[in-house]
Amino acid sequence: MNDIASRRGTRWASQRIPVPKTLLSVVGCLVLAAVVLEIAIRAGAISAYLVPRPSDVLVAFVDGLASGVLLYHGGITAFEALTGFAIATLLGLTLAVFVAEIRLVESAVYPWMVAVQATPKIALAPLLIIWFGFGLSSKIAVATIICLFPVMVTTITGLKSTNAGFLDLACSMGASRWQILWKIKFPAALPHVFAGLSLASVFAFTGAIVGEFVGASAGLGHLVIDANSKIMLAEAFAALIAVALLGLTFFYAMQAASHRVLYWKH
Amino acid sequence: MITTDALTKTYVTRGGESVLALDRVSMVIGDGEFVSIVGPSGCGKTTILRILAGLIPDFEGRVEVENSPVKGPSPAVAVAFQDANLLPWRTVLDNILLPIEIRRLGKAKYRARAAELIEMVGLTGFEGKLPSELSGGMRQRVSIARALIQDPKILLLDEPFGALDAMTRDVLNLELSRIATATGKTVLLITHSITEAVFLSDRVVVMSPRPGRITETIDVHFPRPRGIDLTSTAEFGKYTGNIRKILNYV
Ligand SMILES: Nc1ncnc2c1ncn2[C@@H]1O[C@H](COP(=O)(O)OP(=O)(O)OP(=O)(O)O)[C@@H](O)[C@H]1O
Ligand SMILES: [Mg+2]
Repeated sequence: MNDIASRRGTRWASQRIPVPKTLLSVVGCLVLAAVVLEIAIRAGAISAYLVPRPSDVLVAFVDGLASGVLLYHGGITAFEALTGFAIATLLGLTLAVFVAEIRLVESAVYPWMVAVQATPKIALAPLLIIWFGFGLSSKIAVATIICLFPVMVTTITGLKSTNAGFLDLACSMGASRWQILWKIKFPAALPHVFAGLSLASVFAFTGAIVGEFVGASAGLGHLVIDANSKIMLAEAFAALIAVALLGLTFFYAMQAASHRVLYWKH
Repeated sequence: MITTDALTKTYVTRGGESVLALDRVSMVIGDGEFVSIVGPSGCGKTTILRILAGLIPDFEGRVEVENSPVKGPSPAVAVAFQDANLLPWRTVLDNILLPIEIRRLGKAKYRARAAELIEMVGLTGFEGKLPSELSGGMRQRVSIARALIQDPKILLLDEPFGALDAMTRDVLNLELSRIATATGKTVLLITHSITEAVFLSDRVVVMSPRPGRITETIDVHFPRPRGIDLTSTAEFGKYTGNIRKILNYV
């Protein structure tokens, strides 16, 4: 007992301490790169027309936050991405269960999914704008389509790779197909599912931004395009940084959720 | 009670050829008897067990468990496999209660029984642990407790201790012997260990290489309870020597 407790203690400690360390080194790298870039631009080695000065970007970012512009547009992009992610998760899990459980569905649906996946989603974005309009729903649709495939494929793989011993065991206890699915296959597939959700958590923002690039009047993607067209590079970069921060935050939130749900994996 | 009469099983491989795995296997295992099957690898031992467990639907011959033909898994039969097959996301207690959950017998009613079984297999204090926190031997004990929770008439064990070291195996065999005597279950054990078979059984069934047939059945007359000292007696050695001889000269 004690042994396990102390082992757990060290395990936690060795997991907890590196987080600030990692953060420190990441921030350190960033600051260093920014300083080098700043000096290079000020010295004239890199043209300020191509790359904005990091100090200008920082000012634009802080201004954006203070004026609420970044928060407003960031909120819209986040809403699109998260809604797309949520729809893709529900839809992806449901489809995956049907595909994995029913042969006929697999042969009917799967090729279509692959075909959709093989089409560059950017090529679909203009169509989706026509179908879903200029507002938020078309961006949600792009995010959904981008997220759907990873969620579905990883879940199908997970549902189909259940340990044969578990299935024998469940059968010998007289489990119904439904019980086998929910008590054995699905929990066993969760590590796969979360691998898919992690991928999708990043893709969701790509989807929302792509949708906004094609046509939008709000959102960080719109902000980037707008700043670009006015050659306000610092503002464009500030918006890009906001996108990256949002994606990063959601990705690590997913990691944390996965860590909780897959408690037996650690 | 288990009865097989001319049980024959032919597998069809993916290539389309037929493999005769069992050839007219007939045996009767009475209530409360402990019978072991030994035989070379691939002779069809697991096949017999899976048929009895209702996991293989197509076979020839008559197979009865508790006087009714086997048509699928029966609540009268519980199985423990070579791998403990504990669900890694469930605690020891919840793994043991899985059959109750599956058969919808009401988990609350069985908590006391689960606690008894956990004590019987020597795992008190480990109820809330995950399988990954247990040793191999402890996992097999959980697997046996899980097989016992629904109070089956018949226990089918497919090399449950095969993957364990000799010392752990001795300990678990002693416990299994004690549990079988105490609960009066009908037990069919598959094993590669002749010593284990003789030590635990009322009868040892020796099988030939594929196609699996019963070569000989040996009654073991030692009184119960049996202690581990028994294994070093000359009488015991006669039994094991005899079985070894049969296995080598078929
Ligand atoms: N699903 C299957 N399809 C085709 N052949 C099979 C199948 N399962 C088992 N066999 C064959 O049937 C024979 C008996 O297999 P079985 O698993 O019952 O042997 P066993 O006595 O349990 O062997 P071991 O001691 O190695 O566990 C083997 O020759 C095996 O190749
Ligand atoms: Mg076997």
